[in-house]
Amino acid sequence: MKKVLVLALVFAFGLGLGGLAETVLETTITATPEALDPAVVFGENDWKVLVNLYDYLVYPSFENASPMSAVAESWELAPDNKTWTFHLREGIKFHDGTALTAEDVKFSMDRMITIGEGYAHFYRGRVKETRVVDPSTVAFELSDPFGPFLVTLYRLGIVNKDLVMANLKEEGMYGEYGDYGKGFLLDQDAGSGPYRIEEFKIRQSVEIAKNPDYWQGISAESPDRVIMTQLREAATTKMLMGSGEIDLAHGRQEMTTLLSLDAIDGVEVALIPEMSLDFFMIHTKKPPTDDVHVRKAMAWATDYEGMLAIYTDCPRAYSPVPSQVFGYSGDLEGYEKDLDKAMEELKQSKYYGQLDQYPIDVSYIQGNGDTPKLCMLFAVNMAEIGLTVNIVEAPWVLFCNKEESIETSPHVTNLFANASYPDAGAILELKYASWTVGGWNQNEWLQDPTFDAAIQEALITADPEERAAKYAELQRYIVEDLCPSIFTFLSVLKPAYRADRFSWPAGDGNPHAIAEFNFNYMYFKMLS
Amino acid sequence: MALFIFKRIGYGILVLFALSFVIFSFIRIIPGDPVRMSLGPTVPDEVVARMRSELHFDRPIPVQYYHWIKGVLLRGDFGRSLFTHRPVSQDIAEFLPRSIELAIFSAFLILSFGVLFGTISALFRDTWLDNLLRLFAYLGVVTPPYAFAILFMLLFAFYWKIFPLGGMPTLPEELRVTGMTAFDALIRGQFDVFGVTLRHLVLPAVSLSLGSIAYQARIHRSSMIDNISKDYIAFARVVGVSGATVVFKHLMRPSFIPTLTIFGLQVAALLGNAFLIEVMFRYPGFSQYSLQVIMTKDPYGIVAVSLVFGVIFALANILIDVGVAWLDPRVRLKASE
Amino acid sequence: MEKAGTTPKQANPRWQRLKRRWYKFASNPLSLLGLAVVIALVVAAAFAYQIAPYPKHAGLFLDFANANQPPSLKHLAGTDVYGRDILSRMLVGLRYSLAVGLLVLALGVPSGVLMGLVAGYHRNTWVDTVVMRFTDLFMAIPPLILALVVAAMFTPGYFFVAIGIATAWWPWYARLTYSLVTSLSNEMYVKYAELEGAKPRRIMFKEILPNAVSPMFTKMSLDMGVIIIIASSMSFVGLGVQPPKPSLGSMVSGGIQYLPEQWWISVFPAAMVALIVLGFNLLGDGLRDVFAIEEI
Repeated sequence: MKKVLVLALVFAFGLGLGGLAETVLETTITATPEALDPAVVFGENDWKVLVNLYDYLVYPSFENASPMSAVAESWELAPDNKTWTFHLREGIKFHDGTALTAEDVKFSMDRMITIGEGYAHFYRGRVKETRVVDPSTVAFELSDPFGPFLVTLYRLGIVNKDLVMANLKEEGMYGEYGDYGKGFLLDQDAGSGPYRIEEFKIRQSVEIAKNPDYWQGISAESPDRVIMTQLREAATTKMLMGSGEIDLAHGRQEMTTLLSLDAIDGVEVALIPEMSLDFFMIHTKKPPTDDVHVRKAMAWATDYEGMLAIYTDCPRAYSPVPSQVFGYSGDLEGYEKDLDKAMEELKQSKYYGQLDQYPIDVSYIQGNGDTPKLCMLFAVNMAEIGLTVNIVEAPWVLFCNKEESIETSPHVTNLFANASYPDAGAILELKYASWTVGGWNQNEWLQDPTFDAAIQEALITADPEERAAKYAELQRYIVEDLCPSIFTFLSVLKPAYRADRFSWPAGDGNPHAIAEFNFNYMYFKMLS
Repeated sequence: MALFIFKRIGYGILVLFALSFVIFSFIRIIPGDPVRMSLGPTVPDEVVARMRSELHFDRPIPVQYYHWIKGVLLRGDFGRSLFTHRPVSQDIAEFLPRSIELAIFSAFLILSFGVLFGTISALFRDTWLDNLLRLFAYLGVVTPPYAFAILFMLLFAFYWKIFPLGGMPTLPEELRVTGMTAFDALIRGQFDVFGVTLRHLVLPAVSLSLGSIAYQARIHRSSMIDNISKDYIAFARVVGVSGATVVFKHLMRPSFIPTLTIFGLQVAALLGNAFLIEVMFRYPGFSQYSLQVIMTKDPYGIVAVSLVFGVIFALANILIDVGVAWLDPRVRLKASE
Repeated sequence: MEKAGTTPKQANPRWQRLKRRWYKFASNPLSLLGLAVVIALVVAAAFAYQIAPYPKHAGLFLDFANANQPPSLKHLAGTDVYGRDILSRMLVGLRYSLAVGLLVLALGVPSGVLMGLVAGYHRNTWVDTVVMRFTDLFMAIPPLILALVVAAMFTPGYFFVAIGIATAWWPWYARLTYSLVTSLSNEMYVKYAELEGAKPRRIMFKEILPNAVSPMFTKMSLDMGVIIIIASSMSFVGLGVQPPKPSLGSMVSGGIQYLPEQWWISVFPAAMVALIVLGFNLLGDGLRDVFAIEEI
């Protein structure tokens, strides 16, 4: 009798404990991913979700994004600097229960290269062949050494080959591979990460659920489900945060909104530096900014302190490379506001005395945080040295239209550009190489053969120290000789969150070096 | 009468074809490459070219149009949206019913309250009641719908938590019939779900329709006043016809002519102009989808969206014409000549 | 009063009618209020730079230290996020808002009415069909597409926004004119004119149009406000007056995100929009009341 009673008590007690409600984290994002396919996406919003769904050969460390073992336990580079061999960990399972093997890694790389979208440009023309040495060893053969290769692997999500192959659509652009699973991976996941996809409504919301069988083990304190809702509207965000309906707001709020959010009881703001800078990108092929003296004058006339007052808590930038990224050159003095030096430069320009005949268009994308304020300040600054500025606020589609050709691109655009992998080459190539013109990332239209040759050389340098030296020279060349951009500050994400609901590394002052990886929810701890 | 309707429908279809061709071509002529924009600047040219080819963008426009029309008529395939990466028909099936539901609810509010206030105002012309109603009508017309949206959200969702702050719960697949959330819930007998969805509809619908209610009231008042001064009304009064009969039988019908015209156009416009309301209330409807599709220059999306609006307008116009003909015997007689 | 060279029959009614209309109009205090408001607004717009307390704030000006100040004696409507005086910007913005409204009406109304008249009088002929189908075609295109396409072809400035809205606006006038003409064509005085052998054009302009004027005027004055509201909605997506020039619409749309704390940034401009529309509505109603009596 007693035994039954004890059992019943234990049973009831167990039920009571086991019957805990599941924890749900409500967050907002500026936009949902375009797709859940790692071979296709390339934006911050995509990666915030994908870091949860997929695993990578190597994983960036918190402090400085240096490669740590993840799917790959160890790796080595052959003496010719062209062959990388990775030894995979045993026992990693995809969400559908099947094992992750070298076949899947090869499939992921081949697929990314063939499709050619997203970050494929890291590997296209560089990765000659991927070989499965044995089920737990894979080798990449590069056509030339590629210095940053290891860190680009942070963006190669490993997809489940069997699952994707089973879900191909016959009609597609990829011959026998049909649509290569693009349709399937639009809103389904074929990953092995700490979370799996529950529901994806494009442009509306994403819902992910914890993967209890994650190979690294996942804590019970991590949220069981995370719902990310697309919400840019400031008034609604403030209301929802105040009523407790959302726990974590996206990090790109306008200053005034952020202050209101911060004022709510229990809400704090985390600071997450991004590998991204705010640039004033100056067209180098349109008068009057085609004259380097005019550009330098502009750099000397900009009120950097004023801009830092608009975007508080952001460190000043003196180089196109973000300061936390490998290859950053800290030796550059850069520019400060100095009207005398500005006028000196201006006087050396061939346009001096006729500046009123050459108005400058400064353009930015509408609805992009506090950038209008920056541009307004910039316009005031330029007026101080006699340059006439027309401000052009354009919706994104019109902005992109203009960027497509050299004639229609405005004189100056103000945008954030970021490094897609933690190596100076990423941003230097993106911003200044001739093969990246025609998009919003490069309004400079630099098209400089010296630079092109130098950046390509730097990228194939395998030895880190040598590469860093080459990057340093490139940065000096850009900043001191060419001055095609004005570097203002490093971008910092400032997500407001309910500190009384959960804690996370970023909130504890320990943000991950790569911004999107802060949103790996396995590191979150729900409170109470 | 039937011939009249038939002719209208026939012309309507012709208009739709013309419209679709015009928009189709226009989008492809104006500068900007939507494929390049959707893929991003780092993607190599040959990949962009491949996608363009897949979407038939490299063929001459009449050829593209032919393929598209064939798809539309034979398979109901409106092409693929570059914005959502899904077939456009799927997007329409998801978003349109919800906007229609919002529009129906708003239309009901507009017609009933608009005519009600307009009639009262006209009948009690120049009294304090008239002036009070006109004041409210002014405020209604004069205030932008988004201002109402904020006001109602602050009052009824934030301070007094009567209505939800926004959004619209989606029904699970099994319950879905038409895609109109509240309606489906109702006809499936899920009354509690119906209640919840109805509450989500109230604030957006009221914000959306207040301006139109005011406008409708003014038009109706205006046209009633026009007719009150007509001879036959005076005659009816002199002869001794009761006030109520005069109002409902003799006054309402002709007064409805301008009222209906405006009403029909307003409702049709509701769908297009609701985008700010849908955005602010996070209502996942067709207007905010159209806005996004336009802002990202999504070729197949824009054409499909224009077509949908075109169909709606055409239907609305046909209904208006039929309604006017029915109400105005003079027009009806002429039409059947 | 008899004018030399004209028969008494023609001179008297015109002048007397005008005087009668004015008395009728002036007898309603609301109509007078409307007229006064509209006149005040037009004057304020014309002399905006002279009246505004801080005219420079309507151009390129920054003063972050003074940003987000609530209404005070120094800044009657407060300051915005750039530290600019909102009242001054409202006065200058008034110009652009009125201009957009006038431009759209100036472009849209004549073309729309003309189309409607032509189609309405020639109804049930091929002219009717062609014109009304053309109208349908334009009406079926969402105004936003039209405006975006127009802006995309040029630049996102307010002038092209006005053209875009006008392109979407004229069909409404065509339609309204058409329905009115259709109904009015059966009125006695038109029949008489036809019997007399008057030409169609003469009938349209002399008989039908004057009687279509009163609902037209009401609609036009109502439309001023709606157009300004639509143009302000366009600012939500970045089409309209370019910064730093102020327009009431862009001030309202820009200020919405600062609710409820910095409410003055959008509330005051919105109130001015309301005032403009109120004025035109009252005026329009007054006119309408005047014309209605004539129909006995």
